[in-house]
Amino acid sequence: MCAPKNISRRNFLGQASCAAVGSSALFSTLFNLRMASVAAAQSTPSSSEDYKALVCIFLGGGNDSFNMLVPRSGTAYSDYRTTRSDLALSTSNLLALNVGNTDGRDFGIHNAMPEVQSLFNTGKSAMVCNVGTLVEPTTLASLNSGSARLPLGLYSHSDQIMQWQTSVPDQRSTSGWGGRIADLLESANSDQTVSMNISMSGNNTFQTGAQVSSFVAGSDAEGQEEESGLYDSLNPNPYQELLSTTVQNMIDQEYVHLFERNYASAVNSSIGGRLAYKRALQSVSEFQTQFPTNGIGGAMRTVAKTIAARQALGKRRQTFFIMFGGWDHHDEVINAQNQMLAVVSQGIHALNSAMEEIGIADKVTSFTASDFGRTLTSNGRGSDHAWGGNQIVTGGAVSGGLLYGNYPELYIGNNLDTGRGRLIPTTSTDEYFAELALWFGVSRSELPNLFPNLNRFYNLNSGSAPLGFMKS
Amino acid sequence: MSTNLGKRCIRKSVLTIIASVSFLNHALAQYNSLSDSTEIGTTGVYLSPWLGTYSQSGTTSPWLFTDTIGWVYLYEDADSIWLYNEELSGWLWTTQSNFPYAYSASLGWIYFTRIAPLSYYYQFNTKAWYTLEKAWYSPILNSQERAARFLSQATLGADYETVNSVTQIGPERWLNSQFQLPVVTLRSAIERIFQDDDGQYQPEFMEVENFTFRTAWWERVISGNDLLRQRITLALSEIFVISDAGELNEHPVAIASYYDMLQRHALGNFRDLLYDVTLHPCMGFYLSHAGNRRPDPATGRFPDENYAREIMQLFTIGLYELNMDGSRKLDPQGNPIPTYDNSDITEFARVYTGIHYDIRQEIGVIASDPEITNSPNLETITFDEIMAFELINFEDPMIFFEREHDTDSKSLLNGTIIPAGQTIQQDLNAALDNLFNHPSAPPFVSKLLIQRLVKSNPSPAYINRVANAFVDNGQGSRGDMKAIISAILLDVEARTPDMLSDINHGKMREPFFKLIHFMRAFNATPAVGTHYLWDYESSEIFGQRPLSSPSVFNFFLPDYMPSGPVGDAGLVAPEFQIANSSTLSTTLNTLHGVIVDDEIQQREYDPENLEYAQYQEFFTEWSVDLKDEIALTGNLSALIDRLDLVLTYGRLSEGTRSAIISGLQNFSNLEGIGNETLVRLAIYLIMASPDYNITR
Repeated sequence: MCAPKNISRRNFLGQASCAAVGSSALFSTLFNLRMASVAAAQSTPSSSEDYKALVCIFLGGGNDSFNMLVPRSGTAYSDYRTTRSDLALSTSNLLALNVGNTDGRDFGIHNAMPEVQSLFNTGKSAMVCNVGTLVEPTTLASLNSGSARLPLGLYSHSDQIMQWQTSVPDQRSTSGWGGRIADLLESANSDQTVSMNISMSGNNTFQTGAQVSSFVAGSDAEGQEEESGLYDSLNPNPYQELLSTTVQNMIDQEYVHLFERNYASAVNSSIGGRLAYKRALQSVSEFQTQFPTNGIGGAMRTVAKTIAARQALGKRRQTFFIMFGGWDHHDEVINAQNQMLAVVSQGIHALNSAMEEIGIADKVTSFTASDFGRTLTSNGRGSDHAWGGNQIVTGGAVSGGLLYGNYPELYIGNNLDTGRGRLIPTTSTDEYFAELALWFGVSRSELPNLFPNLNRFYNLNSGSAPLGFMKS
Repeated sequence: MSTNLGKRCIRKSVLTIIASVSFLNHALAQYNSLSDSTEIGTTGVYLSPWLGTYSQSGTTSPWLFTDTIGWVYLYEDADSIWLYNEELSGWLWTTQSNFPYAYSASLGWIYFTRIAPLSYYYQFNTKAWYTLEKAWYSPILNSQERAARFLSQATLGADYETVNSVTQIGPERWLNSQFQLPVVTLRSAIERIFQDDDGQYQPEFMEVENFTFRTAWWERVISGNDLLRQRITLALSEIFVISDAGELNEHPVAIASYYDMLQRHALGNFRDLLYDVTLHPCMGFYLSHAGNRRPDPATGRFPDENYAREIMQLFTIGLYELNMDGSRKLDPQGNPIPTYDNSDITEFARVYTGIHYDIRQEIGVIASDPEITNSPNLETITFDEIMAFELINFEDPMIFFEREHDTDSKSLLNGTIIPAGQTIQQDLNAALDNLFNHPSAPPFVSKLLIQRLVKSNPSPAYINRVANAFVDNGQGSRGDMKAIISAILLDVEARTPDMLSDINHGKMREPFFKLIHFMRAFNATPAVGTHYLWDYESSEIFGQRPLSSPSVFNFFLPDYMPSGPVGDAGLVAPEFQIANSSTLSTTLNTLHGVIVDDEIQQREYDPENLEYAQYQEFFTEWSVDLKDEIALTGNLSALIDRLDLVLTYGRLSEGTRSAIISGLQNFSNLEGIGNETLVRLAIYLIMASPDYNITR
């Protein structure tokens, strides 16, 4: 690797990234990120309201997203209808999208999603089409000849859920791209008691970096302030104080065993973080926006309140993670999507409304992710695991009302069909996430550190954005 | 073997060896006879094929501490091995092939055997057994602590009496006695508990939030004497995952039936387990192969691939081909070899077609309903009709509908072909045999079970030994769960106290199990059968609740690497996946409520008011027995000693111990803290400590 000496900060970042290009292992990449983080902190602009948040809505199990974004007329629709047979939606069950960049095809969104329809048609939501995990640009020919390098554990939930969070499908990486961003940017925040990565849904890979891990808020927004825990009471009585002191004395011991050390430090940050988080959220007033009363609505409410408490938490950058599971619809796909897509749509809409209410909708971007798309063909009741799928991006900074990437043809045997309508993605998660990372404030030169395979899909020296769905 | 072997050379060599001892001290103790030993973890403890486990005091010392005969001084020459043992007051002659037979000038021929926790020798000329008093002595753990440590791996929690009992009889005999205990089904408990005033079983009223299953289950895990079976059954429930977090929540008797099926096979055979898991309707529902149909080219319908994939990925062989020691096989380019690809999954998917719920009784009900005309019969009913009539049976094994089965030939793994025209039963057995006999199955399953019971990062040698027990139980039988479990729990890597000094050894306790541990360790008295613990919020509090996983991937993945020292070292720690900033605090809060405030939430079963079971908190009905501990409150050090034995097998560190004792002294000065509360606080503080939360 290049040995930097006597270099300027700009130079230093350049030197550091040269080690990460090409085949370098992720470990060295992470090392470079550590070196770069101080410099990056200085490069982040510091206006009085320099704030940005990314909200990941992960549809766990594999959303059948070719029934979420659907061609609505002509040959494209009849191909869809033929291929999907008993899973096909009728045109009357599709809400019209006014797509600003149509290629002649006419598109609709699932009729459980009128809120997203309206967000799309008013330019606040965009769709990213047939996006998925890719090691390199892949064609049916390269796949069939065996020459294509493929993601590990393709079509398997656990691997694909992991890779949608790491965006490194050819390695078993333990860090997610949100975590790697936090390694880079956390030091730009004035307070690190509560992580800039906040999860509504437990520990996750997306928000795990080399140093930074997520703060799990729990999804129960109602309970956050009222619960009188022993260790996060804002007015502890003598008993609680003594208990806290004693437990603190135990976990402050020097532990040699790795698991014990890990446990002690996790308890320590749990207790300290919850106290600080609770204090910060108490300072925030309620929203006028009504949040849905389901779990996703509750999670969105907590996200909104946490964003509102950004100054009390000392944050200029935050990421949020919401896992919404139950999308593995080998059966009951039609009925289940009717209910579950409605929950997604209402949740996305409520968050955006709340952000408009406090005047920072252009600083908060939500995006969906999911293990994979599903087979276009039916198994008689539902669909099975596949590959590329469609995703929704929403917020005031999104160039909405447009489709990004390429919406594929849906007839069986098309040039992306690996069998049963398992479609090869035409846009990589690297391109999708790099676009979000750039908007979030990651500099172009740092992108290869975050996404080691990005240069296979995107010319880093080009002046344009990877996909263009974020306003520059 | 013959005891006459080598007598001549003994006499000759005894003299020379004694003469050589003085300069041996300078020699490097790199013994040829120990050259094929393997280190267990990074402990400095080794396993020798002939000598068993031993540790060496420094790399150059000829003194070895062996598991079988305690401290020995070893000398070897080309054809003999000499062991000096103080307790046997002299030199023993043996060879690698003769050991554990040895010859002593004073005792004659003797034979060593170890029945943990003790070692014994048989003296041929007196025809009597003798105990080696010092062999079991470990500078690290005494025998009582060894028993407690064993129980921390083999059970969900054990009390002081059980620790003493295992101290007396040793782990092997305890395991054998546990193997003999019969299965007590949850079904029988449910029928006993949920009766109306006329003594009639009334399950249907209670099918709210899985009330019946939870009630019977809590009773079983808290008061059953089948400690081992319950531990293994819960381990299996985290591998063969179904969950009541979803529609099955309304079918508690079905969940109980699944649990009973796991209980039956927990100490049986893995192949039988696989068959019954596959045909259990809860699994058929959960992984959607119930109602799976043969392909229909006309409509473009394909068989459901869900079960075909997960049985391979999660239940039997995993994603990559494995060596017996659990390491991945590599191709010539050094890459791991996928165990199957998607075409294999589509082949297996066709095996699991034509299987559906046992609707024979339900169909009879429809047939006898005069309001239903054209009621279907078993010979002609279609799967669409089964769905339309909402015919379900979540308790009995699924049955076969040959007309919906894909009877074409199918190619399985490793070149096995199923011929066309077979029945479902034949295809199913061929497919399950194919997976059961796959070379990856023994190491894959063994590692998962080791991770549940003993440690997150077992050594390749450990996995290899357990996998060999999977392959052959010693009597030529494959998949014998008793042999697998014994191999895991009696393995030197699980048992030797020297592993305590390995900073990678062990695992985190599953958070929910701490609740069970408290109740078992202090003899919680179950209620009269009309109450159950209100554990509905456990998924939020602990991040887990038995048989209520968020997905088929369990509460945590076997290869989860937490951030922090464990992950930095490249190690996995599955249980850490549910230890986050939320659950760590809520677990501490909830345990405090249960242990110190004695506020275990329960629901009452009221036969008069079945539909609206009252939600109440009870403070006495699940009382724990703390009188022996309360008697020790005058001497906090003695109190902690006793709790340390039962909860942490004597491994509480000095720092933790003194933090707890000084905390307790301060608590005793607070108003309203009586002796019982002090004991409860002591238990709670130990259970909050890092020392307790990691079992080693």
